[in-house]
Amino acid sequence: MSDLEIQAERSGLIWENNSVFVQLLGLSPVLAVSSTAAYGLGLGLATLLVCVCSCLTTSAVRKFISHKWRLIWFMVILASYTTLVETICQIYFYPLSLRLGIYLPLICCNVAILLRMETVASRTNWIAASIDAIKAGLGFLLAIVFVSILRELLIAGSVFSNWQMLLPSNGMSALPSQSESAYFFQFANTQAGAFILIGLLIALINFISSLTPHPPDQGRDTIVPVQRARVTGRLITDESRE
Amino acid sequence: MNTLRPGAPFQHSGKDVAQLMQTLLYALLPGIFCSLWFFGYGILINIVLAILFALFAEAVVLRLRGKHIFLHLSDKSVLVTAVLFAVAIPPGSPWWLTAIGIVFAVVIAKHLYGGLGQNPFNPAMCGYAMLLLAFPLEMTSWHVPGEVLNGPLTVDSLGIPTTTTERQLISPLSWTAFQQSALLAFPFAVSNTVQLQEFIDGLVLATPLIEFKMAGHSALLAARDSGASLFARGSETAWEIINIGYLLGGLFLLYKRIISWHIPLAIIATVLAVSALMYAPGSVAVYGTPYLHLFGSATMIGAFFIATDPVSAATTKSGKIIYGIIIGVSIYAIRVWGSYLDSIAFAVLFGNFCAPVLDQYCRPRIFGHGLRRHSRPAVISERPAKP
Repeated sequence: MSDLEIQAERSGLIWENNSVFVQLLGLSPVLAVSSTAAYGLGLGLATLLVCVCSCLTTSAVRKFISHKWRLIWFMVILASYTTLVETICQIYFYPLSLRLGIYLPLICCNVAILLRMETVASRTNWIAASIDAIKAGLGFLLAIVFVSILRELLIAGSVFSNWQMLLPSNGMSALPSQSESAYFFQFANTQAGAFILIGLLIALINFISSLTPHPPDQGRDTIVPVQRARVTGRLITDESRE
Repeated sequence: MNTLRPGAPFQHSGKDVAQLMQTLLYALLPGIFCSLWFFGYGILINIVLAILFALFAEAVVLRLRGKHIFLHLSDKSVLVTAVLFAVAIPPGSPWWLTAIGIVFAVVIAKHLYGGLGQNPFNPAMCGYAMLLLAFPLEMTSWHVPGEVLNGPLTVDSLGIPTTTTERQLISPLSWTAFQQSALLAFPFAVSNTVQLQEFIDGLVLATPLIEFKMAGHSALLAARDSGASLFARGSETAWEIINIGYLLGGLFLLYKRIISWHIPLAIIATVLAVSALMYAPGSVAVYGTPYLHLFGSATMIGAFFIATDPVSAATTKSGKIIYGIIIGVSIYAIRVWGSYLDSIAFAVLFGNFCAPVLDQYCRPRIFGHGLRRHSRPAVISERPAKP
């Protein structure tokens, strides 16, 4: 069992084991779509929906999936629900789907969801799988909303502007007019600024979680995990391995 | 393993980091004095503010990292970063611009990568590039002390009535000029914001690179021909004399062997060669004369002071020359075809990107190895005998 799987099976998906800030999975939508809080909330909700549905389906059909071809099946399930959510979004939230662009179909490449399907949903019953999926999706949602609120504050000095895009509407009527000229701190609008911001947030979260002492992990003491380039979370020190 | 170093008694040059940085600061003085003479107290205010904020940020980060504060502050490297940054940003910048830039440079570009000796990019240029991306308007307006007089209403050739505002330059070293520069740096000291805005708008002077498509000649030579004084304030010769000041400082550094000749010579030769190749007098696309590219902008301080940062530059001799050529070509390319005003910061950062690769591939030949083609040591090429 690799270190990544041990990390993925730890509880506390919303805070201690957040898929964005601790596992560093699914970073590209967080970097790309988080320039406005409304976009972040929209993509987070879509990801939460896809995550829950995919994990439920995986848990329901887990007896029929061969171990050898499981990743193909996971991708098929994930892509089906992504297409469904994308179609719904294009029908009812057309302006939002225009703004989200390619990152809405790219939910099916979100490795954070795939990890939940692989480690939890394909091994447990539907209740545990759905609870786990809701936690993971909520963690992703909170992370992307947090980052996008901060970035929108830095870029434009506003929070949840264009929130009307999150209401169901018909056609182009709700397409908001964007005021691109009112930049406050334009560096946060670039990808480099988003990277630096997320890095600082990870440092802050590591600092906060280092204030509270961790309960000793049961599974960690028996297994010496593979040393790999982990960058966040609790680093394995020599004392904890002994 | 025997860790004792055998061999001859090694002689130490007696220089430590603090002395090296101090010499670097002394070498910056001629250029700074020339800037002070031509552009007023803005650069001095920039330097003081940048040093204060940099010392504060460095002390806080050192405290957070659990290092010895006074030991690391006394190596003066943060002073060099602050002075280079303050020289790069335009005079008359508000205080918050200086603060954001220098805190970014010290905290993120230097200490998050591991502090002095570990930073892959030049901290001062990181701060400058971040400010240029974040606040393009504030970073492209140079303020020079002066008085604005509204001229008479005139009608131009298209029939549009315009008022020509005439700028009358005052002495940049006078008390009024100091008041103006201080007001620019601390805008909150003025209660009447409208008045301040008019006041600031009147003082904006374009950097020479905005005007370089028009200027195709050397102002120094023009001053020689017309008999104008070299050090007359507000004259066209300001940038060239400032660059000559930095050139003198750089030659002083070469004399003191703080820097080697490879990087500055490669940069200057590349800029000279490329601009001489591309320059065509009388053609439609005006790229500026080679002289303007060398002395009309920040090329000298970039070549001698910024690109030669021993931490972020390439280290071997051939690597240094290739590093200088990369920076020289990017200086010219970004300046001529790019949309930014001056290109030193981006060119140096691009060169810093390339420096680890250059260090990997431009290693010097190890003594006794690699002279002849088939002179591998027998131990390495020997294969284990087949069982």
